[in-house]
Amino acid sequence: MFSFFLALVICHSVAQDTAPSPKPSVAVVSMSRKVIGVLKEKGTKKRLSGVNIFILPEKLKATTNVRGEFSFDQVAEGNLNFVINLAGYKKLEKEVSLKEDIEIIFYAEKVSYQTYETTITDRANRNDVVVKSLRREEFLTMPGANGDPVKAVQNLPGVARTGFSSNIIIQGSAPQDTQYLIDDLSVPLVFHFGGLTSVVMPEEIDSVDYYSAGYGPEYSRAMGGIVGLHTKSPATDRTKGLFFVDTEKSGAMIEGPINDHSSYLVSGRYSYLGIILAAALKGNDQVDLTVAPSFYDVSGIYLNHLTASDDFKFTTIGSHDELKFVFKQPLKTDPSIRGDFDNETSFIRLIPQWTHKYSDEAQAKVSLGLGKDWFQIDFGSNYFQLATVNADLRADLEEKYSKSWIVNYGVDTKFVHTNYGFRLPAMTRAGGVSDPISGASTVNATVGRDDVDAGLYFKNTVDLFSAENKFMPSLRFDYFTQTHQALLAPRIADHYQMNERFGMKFATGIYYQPPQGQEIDATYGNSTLTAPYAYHAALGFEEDFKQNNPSGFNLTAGPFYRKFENLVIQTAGANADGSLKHYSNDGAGEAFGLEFLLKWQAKAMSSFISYTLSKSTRTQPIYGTSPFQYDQTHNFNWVASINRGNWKYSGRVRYVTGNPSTPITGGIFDSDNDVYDPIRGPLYSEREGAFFSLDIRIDKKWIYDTWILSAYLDVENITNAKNPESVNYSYDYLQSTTVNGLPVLPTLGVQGEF
Amino acid sequence: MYSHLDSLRVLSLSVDQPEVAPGTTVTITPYVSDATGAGRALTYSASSCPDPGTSQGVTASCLGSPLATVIATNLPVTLPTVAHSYTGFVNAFSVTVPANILAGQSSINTYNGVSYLVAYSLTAADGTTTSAFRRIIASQGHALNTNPSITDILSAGVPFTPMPTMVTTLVPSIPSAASEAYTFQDSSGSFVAATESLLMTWFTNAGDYQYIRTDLVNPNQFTPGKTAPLTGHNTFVFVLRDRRGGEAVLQRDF
Repeated sequence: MFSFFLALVICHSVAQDTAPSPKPSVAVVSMSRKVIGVLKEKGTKKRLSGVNIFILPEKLKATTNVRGEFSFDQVAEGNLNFVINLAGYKKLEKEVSLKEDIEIIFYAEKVSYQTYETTITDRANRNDVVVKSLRREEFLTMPGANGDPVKAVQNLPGVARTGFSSNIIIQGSAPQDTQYLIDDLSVPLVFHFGGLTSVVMPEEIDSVDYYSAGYGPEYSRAMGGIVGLHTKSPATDRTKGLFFVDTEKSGAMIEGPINDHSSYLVSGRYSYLGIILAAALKGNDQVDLTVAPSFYDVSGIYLNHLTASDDFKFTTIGSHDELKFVFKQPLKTDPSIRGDFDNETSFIRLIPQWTHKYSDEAQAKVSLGLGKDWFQIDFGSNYFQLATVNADLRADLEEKYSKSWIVNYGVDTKFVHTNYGFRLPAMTRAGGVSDPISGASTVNATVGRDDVDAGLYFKNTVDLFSAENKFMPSLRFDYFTQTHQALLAPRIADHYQMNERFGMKFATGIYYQPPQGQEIDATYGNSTLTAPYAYHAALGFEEDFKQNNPSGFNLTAGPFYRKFENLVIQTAGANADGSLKHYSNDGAGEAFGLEFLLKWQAKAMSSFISYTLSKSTRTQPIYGTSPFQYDQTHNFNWVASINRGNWKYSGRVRYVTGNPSTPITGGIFDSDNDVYDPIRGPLYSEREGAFFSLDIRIDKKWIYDTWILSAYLDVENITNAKNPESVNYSYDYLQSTTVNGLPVLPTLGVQGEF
Repeated sequence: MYSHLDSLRVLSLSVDQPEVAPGTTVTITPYVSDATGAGRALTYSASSCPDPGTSQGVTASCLGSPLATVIATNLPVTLPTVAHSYTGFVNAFSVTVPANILAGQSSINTYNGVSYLVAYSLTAADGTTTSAFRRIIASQGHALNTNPSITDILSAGVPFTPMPTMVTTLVPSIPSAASEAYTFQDSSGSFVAATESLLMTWFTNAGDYQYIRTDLVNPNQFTPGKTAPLTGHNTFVFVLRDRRGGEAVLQRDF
């Protein structure tokens, strides 16, 4: 009976693995020894369970338990040949001379430690028809993004190129129309130093979601869209970590279990970019770097599976940027810019999240975003200082009333107590051209205020006519204390999966956004402003040519349309009593276009092409209708990668139409301030040259038993294309030179994982 | 280069009183350079009007203003020829600030002052044009601002002369009273005490400066050009501003 059972097990093992077939008998000798051991994945030390281990030629077999442990109780002394053959791993053969009882650790090496897939997914774990997600495995090695999750989003259709900044500009909207969230709660900034890298370590981000036109009612206050970073769950199986060094920064992360139901993650990074910059500025007779630019960020995650139906996650994020220098003399272009320049930005967020599953039909999630922000900029006699206390609340209750009807009730509320003071020039930037600070009126005030953006939403997901057609009528309510407005925003979405290959989606709605702080301020701006808003409509088609095959294509395409109303614009001049007009709600705009995303995937290769054809305009009094500052007719991205063992080669080609620009027809000398004021031609009536960039990235991993060494080389603009970003004018605006973007920019990094 | 005198430009619209009571007449004397113009004929035009909001982004012009006063239209300019750099004061003209300019203004604006705009342009026979403007501040309730003054420019503690042949450190000699103390009202109506922060702008056709502008605590450094103009053609101009409309100009020719 025993032999028969053993034969069955062995036959089953052979079916799973390709190890040599053991005979249904065990050699038993007089001098037998015990062998116990653990099987781990090479490099990561992940314990491998359910794996068969054979000893040849005796044809003994053991199977690893959930902790990766195995044992052979009676093994004859002598030379043993251990054989492990597991799908996805290299065949492991190890010869051991057995003279006594032994303990042994085997490390099985994966065929490849590089990721294979292009993981841009639609509707990723979200009941939203317009969301696109990038998972960690993808954005970490995406060429040109330097491993940054938000920069990687720039490769997706509908996202405009932003030049020196890395902000995400969505489908013809403005940079400030995009809201950035971490774990669904707002953060004051997502980048260090205006675009260098995100404020959280990419390795602790699980996925980044990108919501474009027609996004659902869970979010609001963004006419453009949402970029949401989702932190990962810390490892529960073992303690592991990583450290890295690259040309700009270094950092480390560690995570692991605390006990059988809780785990933790801690990370931190520090930038030494300032040391490089200080060396570059050494001996400069204009600028004296007193505090080299630096940033650091720290974060921590605690996860506790409280019960079978309750999870508690606590995320903390802290970030600090600092830069100080002295202009030794007034700046050549503007004498008001002189003396000390000091900029510090910090924020901290504590994000407790609780999820509870009432039943298979009902679950709830509640999260808070508690924190403080500090921002300070001093330049010469001008300054702006801000300190805020933030308390955000997000709650969602999902109830499945029937097989075909799911309802989400939600709260999305934001409270900010702000103290700020400023002495600033009320300068204008019509057409993207700044007037000199020297000639501008100076405005100063000290303000304390409380703002509440209260939001409620109600969302239905109904199987309309069939289970393949998800119809999502919903309603969003917002109250903005800044504008004293109660606003109702209906939104409708529909996703129809016609068959396994083809699906269609449609989304529309109204999206309100409170004016920005400087716009609504009673002294600097206009306290009577109301909320600008946009109508969205998007249509999409999805064709999955690949289906369940290992290789093939997937196509997503569709048009979008946005109409902007009540936009806040800068207004020149003063009221009759001399007070500033400065801002009004007299702006409007329109954006429309066609998006296209073609993905291709094979065993060890992947590629995608994203293309956007679009047009975006703005209309305002005096100037009429003109192209939008970031109107980019063609935006083409082709990203491809190929894996060869532990090498990964990837590349990106970008072609983007140049941004519109406003010509300056001359200058007029301001004798009081010793500067020239620009005389603008028709707003955005010219266009900068097109942008082209070829970026490559090479990743290599060296696998050791207990750790992995990785290195990467990321080279942006390898052809050194001269991409115009802006125009520099002479002091009197009679001559101009083009300012080009980044030249060839290599970044080299090394990372160790254990 | 901002500091280099070559093409036609206005360096200053000097005024005898930078801040006045409403209804006051002031004299404006443009300071002009046309160093490479070889003494060509120029004409000037000037007009004045209530400031349309130049400090709030409105283009500095009196065109279209119903309250504009035309002062001169294409009148001939008399350029100084002594230094052969055709740089110096040219035809002065007068402007009267309207007596009702403060009517309807807030108390803060009345105290801090309201701008009256003077627009000025020069045109050469070949069509080359350059334009400039300045503001005359009209206010009530406090001591009026006056122009600063420059005593001299020193090199090694003595007046800057003759034409340097090597790198030379130049130090402005400014009377201690040049930086006036004054008060203004902030947006809440509170009175704020301040002191003028003087700014010197350096011009020449004979070489290069280390800085084009300096705060007064700092000297500047002059490096002669490799091919300096002939003797009698070297011009140095120093314009001192109090950043509230007050200006002083000093010229040295070698």
